[in-house]
Amino acid sequence: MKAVEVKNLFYKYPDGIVALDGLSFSVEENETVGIIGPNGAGKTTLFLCICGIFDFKGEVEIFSEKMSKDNAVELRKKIGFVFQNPDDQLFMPTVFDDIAFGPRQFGKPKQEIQEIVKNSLKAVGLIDYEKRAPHHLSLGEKKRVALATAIALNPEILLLDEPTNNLDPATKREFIDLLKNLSCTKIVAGHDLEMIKEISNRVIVINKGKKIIEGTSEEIFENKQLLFQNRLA
Amino acid sequence: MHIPDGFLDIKTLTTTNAVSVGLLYLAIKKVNKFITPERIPIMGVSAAFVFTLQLIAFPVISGTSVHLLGSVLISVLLGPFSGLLIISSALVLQAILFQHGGIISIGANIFNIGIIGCILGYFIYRVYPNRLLAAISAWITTVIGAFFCILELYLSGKVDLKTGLIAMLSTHAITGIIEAIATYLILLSINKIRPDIENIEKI
Amino acid sequence: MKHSFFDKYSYINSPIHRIHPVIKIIVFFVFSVSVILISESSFLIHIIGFFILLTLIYFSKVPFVFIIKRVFIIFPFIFMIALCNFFSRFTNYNVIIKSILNSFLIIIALILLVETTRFSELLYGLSKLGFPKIIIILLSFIYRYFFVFIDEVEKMLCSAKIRSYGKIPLKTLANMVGIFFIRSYESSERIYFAMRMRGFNGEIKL
Repeated sequence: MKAVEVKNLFYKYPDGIVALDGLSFSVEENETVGIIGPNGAGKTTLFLCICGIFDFKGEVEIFSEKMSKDNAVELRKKIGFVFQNPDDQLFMPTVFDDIAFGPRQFGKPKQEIQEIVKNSLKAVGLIDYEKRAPHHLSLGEKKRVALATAIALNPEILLLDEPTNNLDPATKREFIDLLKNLSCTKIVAGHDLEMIKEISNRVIVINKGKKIIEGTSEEIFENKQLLFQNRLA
Repeated sequence: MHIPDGFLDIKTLTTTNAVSVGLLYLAIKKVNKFITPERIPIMGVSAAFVFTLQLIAFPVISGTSVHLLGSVLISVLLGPFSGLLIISSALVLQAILFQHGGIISIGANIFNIGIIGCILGYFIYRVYPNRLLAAISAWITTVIGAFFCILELYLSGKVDLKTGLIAMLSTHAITGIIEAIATYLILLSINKIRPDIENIEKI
Repeated sequence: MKHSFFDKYSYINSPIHRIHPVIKIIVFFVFSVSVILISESSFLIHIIGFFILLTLIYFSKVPFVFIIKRVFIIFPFIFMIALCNFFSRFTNYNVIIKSILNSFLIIIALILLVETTRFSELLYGLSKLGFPKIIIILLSFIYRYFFVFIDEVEKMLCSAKIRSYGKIPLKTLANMVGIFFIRSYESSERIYFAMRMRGFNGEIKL
């Protein structure tokens, strides 16, 4: 089954700049798809459209259900989004509060929330971090907590925007291993080609809001000229 | 000027705290009534902005520097009641984290800086909403705030009214100029880069 | 900016740290108001007050010097008051000295409260005592983002200083503040998206 299907996606910013220009692709259930492209290609905007946060033209289907204003809130429950900058995602005074934010909004009982936070932290390798303050954490720790906040709601689809951005090599390695252990549909955007190559089944290249080409990791990364043309080499 | 704890007597404390709590209550009701979801992070982040702004040293003459209050600035951007809540929260946190200004005397500080600056300041600005009047309002409210500060200290028997007024009003007339110029220039800068920010609803 | 000193001692374990935040907040207010009330008629309260605080400091395991150092923040204010009184015929030193002692006592009590209570617990205590939700949210945001912002501002100031040979002109400074506001406004938009992704629809459930 197709987890995500995007048909002719078009999005223009309020100042007139076209971010997405007729983008179409699909992602199968449990696949990991990498979306690569230069800065400004539209990767983050694409994610915000898939979540129904931006008002786009075209179609987005989540598990064959068409995204619209009426069902966006419901469909969003199936999607977890890890933002590029963890400071945008961690806005509560403690790690516990951040991870619990989602479950609390959905009215889950206190006991269950405790369990969810504990399990989410365990899944990202940060056991006993509940009482820590996000602003005291290192970037790597923040990124893991951000991931934990996304998986706390048990999403079927995970969107990751530049997950290994600015991480040192060791932290990057740990994070990549973490991602590999998550079993759900994953769409990863970025220009960390090594990371994308390692975890993706398929790769889509976008530039200036348009899909340039898609294929398997090997096909795309072997094509040096393609990468060069799209400012990825 | 932030009044630390211990310098206001019980009657002044009771009056200022009562007035401030009362007006805050009204402001909270107003804000809660008209608040939209996206406004919550805007207000939260703006509060962090104001708190950080108040720590920045603005040079006056060689050697001395002044710290902005930002009450008129934030009210012009987000509205008087939001501004009051933001300034009040910033004052509370300054008292808690830095002991800059007291907690028991928070009512007086909220009145002098928040209520005078945000509420009165906004209404002066609304007479003819433009950057220049915002700057003038910033100066006026700085001086009036200083006046009430001395009044409160005088009523608590800590200073002589005449000397206190001369000292405070003269210094704040000067710091008020910096507050005014900075308010004007900051608003100008914001307008140049993102003029659409002026369209944020003012609550 | 080195910001680890703000919460430096709030993570240690002591009998005082373990007391429920609501109790500590109430005790602080009762203590402070009592000091102000009773001091109007005697100096004895100051001696008693100091002893109480010294005992609490001992049990809290927070270093005495750390607390006392921070009391000096009110000195500019005391200086101003002293100056005003010096130039007028008003010489009720009794009153001034009492105020200064009151100030010391209340500040020390406040520092004790803050250093023995994690900020999130302080907020929890305030909300349990009926503090309005919107204020708690604002306090939470300020605390969370202040550290991020002050670092950004320091970087901006640093690069501006380098480019203007040390002294930053007012216009440049104001420009930077304007940019700082816009950047924080834009990050609030992204924070809002992050909140919506986790089910936020207008009411933060604490």
